[in-house]
Amino acid sequence: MVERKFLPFMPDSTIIFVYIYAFITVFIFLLGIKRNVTRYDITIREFVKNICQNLKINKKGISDFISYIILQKKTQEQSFGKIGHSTIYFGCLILLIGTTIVAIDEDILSKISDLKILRGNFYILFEFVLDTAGIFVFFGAIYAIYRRFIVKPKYLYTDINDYIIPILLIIIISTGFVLEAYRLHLDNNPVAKYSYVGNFISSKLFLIDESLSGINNYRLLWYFHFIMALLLICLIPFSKLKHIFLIPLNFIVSPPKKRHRNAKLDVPFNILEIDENDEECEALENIGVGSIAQIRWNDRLQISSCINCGRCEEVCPANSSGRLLSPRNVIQKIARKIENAENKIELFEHIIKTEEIWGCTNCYACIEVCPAFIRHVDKFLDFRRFIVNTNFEDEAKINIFGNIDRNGNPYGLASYQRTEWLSDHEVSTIDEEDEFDYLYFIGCSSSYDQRCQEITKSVINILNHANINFVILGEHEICCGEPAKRMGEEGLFQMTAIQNIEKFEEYGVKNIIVHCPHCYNMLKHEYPEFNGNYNVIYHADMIDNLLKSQSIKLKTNIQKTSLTYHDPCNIGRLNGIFNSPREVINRVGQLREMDRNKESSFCCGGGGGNAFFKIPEKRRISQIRIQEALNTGASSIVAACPFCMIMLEDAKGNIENSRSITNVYDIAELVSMHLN
Amino acid sequence: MNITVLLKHVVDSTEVRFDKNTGELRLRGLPEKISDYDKHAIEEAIRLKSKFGGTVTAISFGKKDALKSLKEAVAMGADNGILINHPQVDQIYDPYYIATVLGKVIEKNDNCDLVLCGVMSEDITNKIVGPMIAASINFNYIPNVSKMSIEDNSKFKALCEIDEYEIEVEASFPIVISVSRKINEPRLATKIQIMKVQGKKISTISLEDIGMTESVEAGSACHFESFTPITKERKHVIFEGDATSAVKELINKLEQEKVL
Amino acid sequence: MKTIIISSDENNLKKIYKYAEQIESIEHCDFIVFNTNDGFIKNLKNSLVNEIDIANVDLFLLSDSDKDQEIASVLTALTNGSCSTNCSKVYTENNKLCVEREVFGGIAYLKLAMVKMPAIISLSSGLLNDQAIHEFNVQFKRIDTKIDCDEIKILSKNKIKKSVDITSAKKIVSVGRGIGQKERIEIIEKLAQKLDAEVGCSRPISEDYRWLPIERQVGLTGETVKPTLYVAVGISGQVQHIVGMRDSKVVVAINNNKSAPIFEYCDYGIVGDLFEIVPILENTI
Repeated sequence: MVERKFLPFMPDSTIIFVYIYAFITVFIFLLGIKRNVTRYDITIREFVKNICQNLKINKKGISDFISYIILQKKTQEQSFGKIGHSTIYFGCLILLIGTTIVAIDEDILSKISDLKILRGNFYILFEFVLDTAGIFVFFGAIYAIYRRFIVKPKYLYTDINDYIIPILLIIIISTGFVLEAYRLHLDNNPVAKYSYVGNFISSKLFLIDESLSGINNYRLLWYFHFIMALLLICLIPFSKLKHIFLIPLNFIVSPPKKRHRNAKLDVPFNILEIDENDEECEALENIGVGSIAQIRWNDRLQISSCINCGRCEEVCPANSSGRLLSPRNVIQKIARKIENAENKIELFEHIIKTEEIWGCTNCYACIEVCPAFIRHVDKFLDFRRFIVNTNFEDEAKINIFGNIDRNGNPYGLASYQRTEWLSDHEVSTIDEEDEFDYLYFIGCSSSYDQRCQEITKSVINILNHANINFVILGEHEICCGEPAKRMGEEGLFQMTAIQNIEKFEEYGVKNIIVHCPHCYNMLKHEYPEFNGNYNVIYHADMIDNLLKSQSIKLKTNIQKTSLTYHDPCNIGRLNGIFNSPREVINRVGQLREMDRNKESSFCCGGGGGNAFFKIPEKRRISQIRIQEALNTGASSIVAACPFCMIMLEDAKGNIENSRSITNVYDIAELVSMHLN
Repeated sequence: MNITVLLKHVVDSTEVRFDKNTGELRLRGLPEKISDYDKHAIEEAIRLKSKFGGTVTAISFGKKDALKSLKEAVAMGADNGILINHPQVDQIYDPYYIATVLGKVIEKNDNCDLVLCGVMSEDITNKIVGPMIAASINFNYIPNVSKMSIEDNSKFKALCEIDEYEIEVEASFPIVISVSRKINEPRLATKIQIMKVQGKKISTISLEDIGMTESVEAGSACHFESFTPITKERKHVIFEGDATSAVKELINKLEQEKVL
Repeated sequence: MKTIIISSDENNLKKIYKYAEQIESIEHCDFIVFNTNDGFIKNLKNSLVNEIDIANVDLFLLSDSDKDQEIASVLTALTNGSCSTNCSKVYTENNKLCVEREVFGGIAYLKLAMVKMPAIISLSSGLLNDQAIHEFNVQFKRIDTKIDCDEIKILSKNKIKKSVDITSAKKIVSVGRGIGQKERIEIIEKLAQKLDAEVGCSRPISEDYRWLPIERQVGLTGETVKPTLYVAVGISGQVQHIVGMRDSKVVVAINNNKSAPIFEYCDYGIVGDLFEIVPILENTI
C-alpha cells in the first residue's frame, strides 16, 4: 500500500534543522503577536480573557463565525473577493489542513503507534486535493498581481506588502510543485498521476535537461522552499497578513450588529444615572475620542484589522461627491499611528481634519461592505463627540444645537409655528383627546418644511381613512434629538429625549407612528436607554398592513406608471425595512429598481446632520443619486424619508435633463393620492 | 489680570409672541439663553486669560434662572460667577439703574482691570449699559472692539469701530470694553460640560448686599407702560397677469412702504 | 419742557430737530453740537460738566450713534435722570413723557414712562433716517472737548469702507435657480444697482453652480439678513432659505410658479416670467 514518505531524499539531520527553524519561526511569530497586542494597550492575559469571555457570552455567534469568517461570506460579495481572495484563502486553508495532517502523522502518531493517516486511497486523495489547492493559491496570487499592477482600480493603494506577499506565495507554491516533480521523478511513484501538477512538471522539466534531476539540486530547492514558507509565517504578524488573525478576533470581540439593531448607537454616559453632586464622575471626564490614547483596546483591534481594501471609499457618498472624507483614509491614518505606538498623538491637531469627520452622512454603506467588520460611523461619532466637547467654535453647528435646545427644532423657527399650519386639518392634539391608540410623531422637517408638510397631510389622510384613533402632540412636540445625537452633542440629545419621554409618559403613549426614519431610529433604538419603551411603527409598515387588511382601499382604476424607490439609509440599511415600501409601490405602479438598491442603496446626502450644514464638495450627493434614478427611466421617484425628499427635490431642479423625472413622492403621498 | 465679563440672561426672541387669545405678550415659560452679544465677551475674556493669565469673573443681574447662564459661562471657561439676584429684574427697563448695580459689584470685586460686555442686549437692544457703567465708576470706555491684544499689565491695544471710523487705540487699564460680534466665534459649552460645573463656583448676592436698599420701583427711572405688537404678518398681495401693470402696482406699494 | 438737542454730529442734530418739532410739549429748545475731538468718556464728562448748564433742563434729545450714547451716559450719570435709547417715538401722555422702542427682535413696541427729570432720550437711527435734514437758522452752540487725560491714545483712524456684507445691507435682491444661466444674473445685478441694493442668492446658485460667491448666500447654511427690502427673484422658498431672510421688513417675490412657497412668506408677489418682469421693474423704478 502506498503511503506518504516523510522528508524523502533528505539527510537524516534535516529533521533537526526543521525543528530549529520551526522554533525560531514560532518565536518570531509570538513576538509579533505580543507586539501587536501591546499596541492595543491591553495585557496579553486580559486580551485572552476578554476573547474567552466573548466566546462564552456569544455562543449563538458561532454560526455567524462560520459563515462570515470560515466561509468568507462578506468577502465573497465583491468580485475580487470571490475570485482572488477566495482562491488564495481556501487554497491556503486546505494546504494548512494538509500540513497539519502530516504533522499529526509524523510528530504524534509515528511516535506512539504504527498508525498512519496518509496511506492508501486517502493518501492518493490527499495528493490530488493538495495539488489542486496549490493551483488555487498560485492562480489566486497571479490574479492579485494582475489586479494590483495591471487593472489598478483607483480605490486600491499599493505598498510593499502587496508586492512581497503574492510573490512569496507564488515562489512557495511553484517551488513546492517543482519539488513534487523531483520527488515523483526520483521515486518512480506508481500513483504519480494523482499528483497531477507535479507529474506534469516532471514530464516536461526533465525532458529539457536530465542533468537537473540531481539529488543535490532537490535538496537545495527543498531548503529554499522550507525557508520561504517559514518566512511567510514570520511575516504574518508584521505585515498586512495579520488580518488573518485580527479580523476573526475583531469579529469575536465586537460582533457585527444584526440588521434590525444596526441603527443602535452607543451611550457614553447616561444623564439619568449621573449624580449631580458627584463632582468627579468618571464617565464625564473624557467624552469622545481625540487622541490615540483615548481609543479603547477593542477599537484599536478593530481599526488595526483594516486591510486598506478601499471598498468603503468606493461606496462612500461623501467621497463620491468629492468631499475630503474617505473612511478608509481615516481608519488607515489611525491604524498607522497605533502600529507605530504613537500614543500621544492628538488626532485633530496632526492627522485628521475635522472637515473629514463632518463630511460623513452616517449612511453606513462603509460598514455594510467592510470585510473586516469595522464600524466606521461609530468611530466618527466618537470623534464628533470629542470635537464638539473641545473648544468647539463652529458657529453654524453651535446654532443647530441652540435651536434644538430652545426652539425644539434644528431650524431655529419658533416652536409655536410647529403645527399652526395644521389647524385646518382633521387631526386632534393630545390635549383634546382622552383616549387614543396611536401618537403620530410628525418630526421637525415635516412640520416646518413646506414640501414635507405634504407628507404629514398624506399620513393624516391615510390614518383618517383607516379610522385610526390617533393624536398629534401639537405644540408639545419637540425634536427627537437625532441631529444632536449624530453630531456628537450627547448631553443635549439625552435631555431632549428625556423631555420627550416625560411627555409620552404623562399622556400614556404606547404606540407611536413616525414617517421620518431619523425619528424612528431615536424613538425605537435610543429612547429605551432612558426608560422610554414604545411600540414605534414606521409609516410604510403601517400603510402596508392597512392595505393588506383592507382597512384602506385604493382606487381600482389606477394607471400604473413606472416608479423607482430610493431606500432611505436610516430605514433600509439601518433597520432592514426593504419590503413593505416595495409592496406598497407595486400596488400603485411598476417598480423599477436603481442599480444600487436595498442594502447597497446610495445615500441622499442628508443624514448625520448634513442637512443642516455645508461641507466643501464637488458635486452634491443627491445629484449622483438622482442621476441613478433617471437611469431607470422611471417617471417618478418614491422616497420614504423627509430628508431624502428635501435632498432629492433639491437635486431634481438642478439637473439639466431632469424633465423625464417629474416628481418625487413620499410613499404616503403616493398612497394618499390613490385612496378610494 | 482681573477680567469681569457681564452677561445678560435673556428670553429667546424667536419664541416671543402675543397670545392669540389674550393679546398679551407672552414672556414667561419661554426658553432663555445668554444674550448672543455677551457670548462674544465671554469668549474674549477666556481667550485673553489663556494668553495673558488672570481670572475671569462672570456677573449677571438677573432672576434665579440666570444661574443657568452663569453656569454656562463657567463651562465655557470663566473661573467663577456672581449672580445679583432679583426676582423682578425683567421689569427693570432703566439702563442706568442696571449700570449702577453692575458698577457697584465691579467696584466691590476689587482690582478689576478689564470689564467686557457685549455691544448691546439682545432682547431690549440697549447699547448704553457699557458706557453708563464706565460713567458711574469713572472708568474709560471703548465701544465695538473687534480686535484686542494686551501689551503689559497696564497697557493694551485695540481696534474698534466708532461711528463709521475704524480706530486703533492704545489704552491703559482699568477700562470698560464692549466687543463687536466680529471679534471671535464663541465656543460651545456642551450640556454635559454645563452640568459638570460645580455649584460653589457661583455665588448669589442680593441688592441689599451692595447697599441698594430702596425698592426697585423707587430706584428705577423708567416705568413700564405696555407692549404693543409690531405687525409682521406678511401681506400676501400677489399680482398676476400683465407684467407692466403688475410692476406698476408693485412699485406703488413699495413707495407707500417707503422702502424704495 | 426745556429741551436741549445735543449730538456729536451736525447732520444728526438737524434730523433730531426735525423730529422734535412733532413733540408738542417742547417749549424751549437749545442746540448743541458737541465736538468730541476723538475724546473718550472721561474727557466728555469733564467738558460737559464745564460747558453745559444742566440745571432746569427737562429733556435731552440725542441720536443713537456711538458717541451720542457716551454723551447720554455721562448726562444720565450727572443728572440722575431717566434714560432710554433707540427710541422710535417720543410723546406726552397724561402729563407723562413716554417713549416707544422696538424690542424682542421687532415683535413688539415697549412703551416706557420717564419718571425722573430730566429725560435723556436717544432716537433710533431708523427714525432719524426717515427725517429729511431740516435747514434751520437757529443758532447752535458748539462745544469742543478738551483732551485732558491721555489714558487712551489714538494710533490710527480710517473711514470704514463698505465691503460686500449682505448681513448689514438695507436692500437685497436675491436670485435663485429660476435664473437658469450664469450669464442671466446680469439682469439681477442691474436691478440691484438701480435699487442701490446688494445681490444675494439661494443655496444652488452659490453651492451647486458657483455662479456667485458663498458670502452672498442667504439661508440656513449661508447668511442671515435683515434688510428693509428683500426681493426674491426665481427663488422657490425652501425653509432653508426662509430662515435666512424672515426678518426682512418688506419681502417681494417674483416667481413663475404660483404655488411656490416663497409666496407664503412675501408681502408683495408677482407671478410671471422673471425675464420679462425684472427688466420692466428696473426701467420703471
